[in-house]
Amino acid sequence: MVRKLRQQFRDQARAPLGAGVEKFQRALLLAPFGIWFLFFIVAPMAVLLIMSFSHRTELGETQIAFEWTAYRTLLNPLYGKVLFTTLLFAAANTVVTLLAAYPFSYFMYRCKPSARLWVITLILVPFWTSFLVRILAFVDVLRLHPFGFDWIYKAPGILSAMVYNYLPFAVLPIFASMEKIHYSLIEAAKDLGAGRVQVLTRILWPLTRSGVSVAALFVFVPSLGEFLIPELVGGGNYFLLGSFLQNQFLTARNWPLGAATIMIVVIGTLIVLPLFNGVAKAKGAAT
Amino acid sequence: MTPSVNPISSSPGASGLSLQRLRKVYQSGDSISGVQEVSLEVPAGEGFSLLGPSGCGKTTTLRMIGGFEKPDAGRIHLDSKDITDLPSQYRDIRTVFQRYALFPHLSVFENVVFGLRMQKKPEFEIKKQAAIFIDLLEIGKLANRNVAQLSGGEQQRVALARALITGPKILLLDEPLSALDLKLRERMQLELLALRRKLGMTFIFVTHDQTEAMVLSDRIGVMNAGLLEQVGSPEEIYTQPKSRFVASFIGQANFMGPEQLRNLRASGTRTPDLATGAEWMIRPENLKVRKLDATLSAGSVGLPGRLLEMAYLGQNRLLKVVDATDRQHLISLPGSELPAVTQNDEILISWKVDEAWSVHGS
Repeated sequence: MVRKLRQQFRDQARAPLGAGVEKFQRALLLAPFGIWFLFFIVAPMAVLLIMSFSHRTELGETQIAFEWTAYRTLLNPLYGKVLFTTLLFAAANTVVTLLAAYPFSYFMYRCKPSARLWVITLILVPFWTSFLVRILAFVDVLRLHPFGFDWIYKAPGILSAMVYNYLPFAVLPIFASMEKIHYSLIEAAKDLGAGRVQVLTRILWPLTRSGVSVAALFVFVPSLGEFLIPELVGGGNYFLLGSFLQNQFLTARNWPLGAATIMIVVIGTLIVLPLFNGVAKAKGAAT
Repeated sequence: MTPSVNPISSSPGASGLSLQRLRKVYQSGDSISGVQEVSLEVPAGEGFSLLGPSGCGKTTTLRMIGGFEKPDAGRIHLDSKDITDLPSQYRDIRTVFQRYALFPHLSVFENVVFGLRMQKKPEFEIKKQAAIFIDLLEIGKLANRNVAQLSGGEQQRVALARALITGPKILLLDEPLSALDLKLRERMQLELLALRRKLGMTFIFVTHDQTEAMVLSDRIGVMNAGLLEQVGSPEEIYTQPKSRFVASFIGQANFMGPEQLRNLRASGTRTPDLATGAEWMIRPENLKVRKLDATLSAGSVGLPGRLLEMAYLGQNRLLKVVDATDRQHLISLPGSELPAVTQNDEILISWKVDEAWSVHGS
């Protein structure tokens, strides 16, 4: 669906404006985004790329050079384990968040429009507080052993904090795709004999799949770099990519190693993303 | 080929739909809408229209029949079986929704056979039934298309096929033609009528368009403010409206109250007395224009007035006349007839006493 959006953007950009002057105007319109992209995406990535090949002195200073030391260090299985644990947490977070977000979105979909506004407000209001404060509060909630679970400093605790934090990012795209389904479609399906399960599998799911793909992306990618939640809720029991990076840059002062890790994750994401698009597209075409 | 949808019972009365004191009220703030009370019998095979302005409760009534709303009170029987508490899918009643509600992710064929798939019918039977109904609705060329590529008229055919394939006894159609443009609407009206005649099954329409109701149905139920004001054939409803509301909702109507009648001129014949609170209703085509000093024929009465406007519409000519009490009247003359009057002339509107119909209400 990212590809679809991109196509849409391209089509809009191609809209007939005329020639000459309009071409310049179009360039002018796109300029702010171009500049933003250059300064906040391209430039930092370039800096990281250079840094990842740089040399770290004994004192932890970074000297520009061209060496593979950082990448060679990453071949150590220890780092692979960090990456694997991170992927595991991110995947678990994505699955659980989507499982929670889908029925929640349906609930919102079935709300009257006036009530919907309240529900959206309720899930967005916590975001007006600082992330740090929210996580610390969540730790306090876990300390109370809610529902008799002792999850503090444990994997389920980290996961529940992540789900709590990422839920709105999944609810909003799923709800956006659900909102477009006129309720008469569901009534028609029921009238024609579809039970609850069939309404879900034959009507709702096929029509919201693109929203779920976007939601999965919105949850999975940022949770790869999550470091505050594993630190504060996990109590350092789980060493994830985010913590590792924070460590390399701020504590161990091994910037080349941190930069190389980021390069690997970014390249990995860039490889996986089009595959993800391809799956969504193939599924879309199949229907 | 006539598909074997459902053999209609030939004995009327025993089979059909019966609504008994149905009630479904929505309250928001101090405005109350929905259905106050509706009782109705629709014999099998009839084409029936619920007609009324928006918010009169006609859609709510239809949704209760279809099984999408639970009535607050009252019972619904189909062929003497109580179906009030049955979910929509277990009633032998299918609905064609206002905007057709086709499944956008499925092909035309898959839309049509959706009901059979839900019933887990074997593939050969699905194919057989689909062929019959795709043929009946003439949508063979569209079978493999995406529903998004269909025009409004084509969507309606697909929606009809999808509903009919499950073999219902009654088809409910919620504003079936409102999504179409005028030309197509007129064509689809006749096609729907032909389809209903061919299948011989009960069609219940909801519409706010009186022409549509008159073309499509054997009987019309006019609804207003949650109540069924009158049920009757299109002709009964037009010529003998039970209330002032029905008279003015169906076609154009002129009303003459006691105040207007004070200025009435009659030659020999006298208008029968009006009951208190009642008014005479005269259709525009039953009014004639005379010179102010013209002699009225026997059985006719006349009311003096001034000609405000005159417009030629081809088939007919519309005249607007204001009487001494400032009430305006609409007169429709055949287009070929040119009255010897001009604007602002003082004239006489006349009508035959037996073409006036007495109505009550506001």
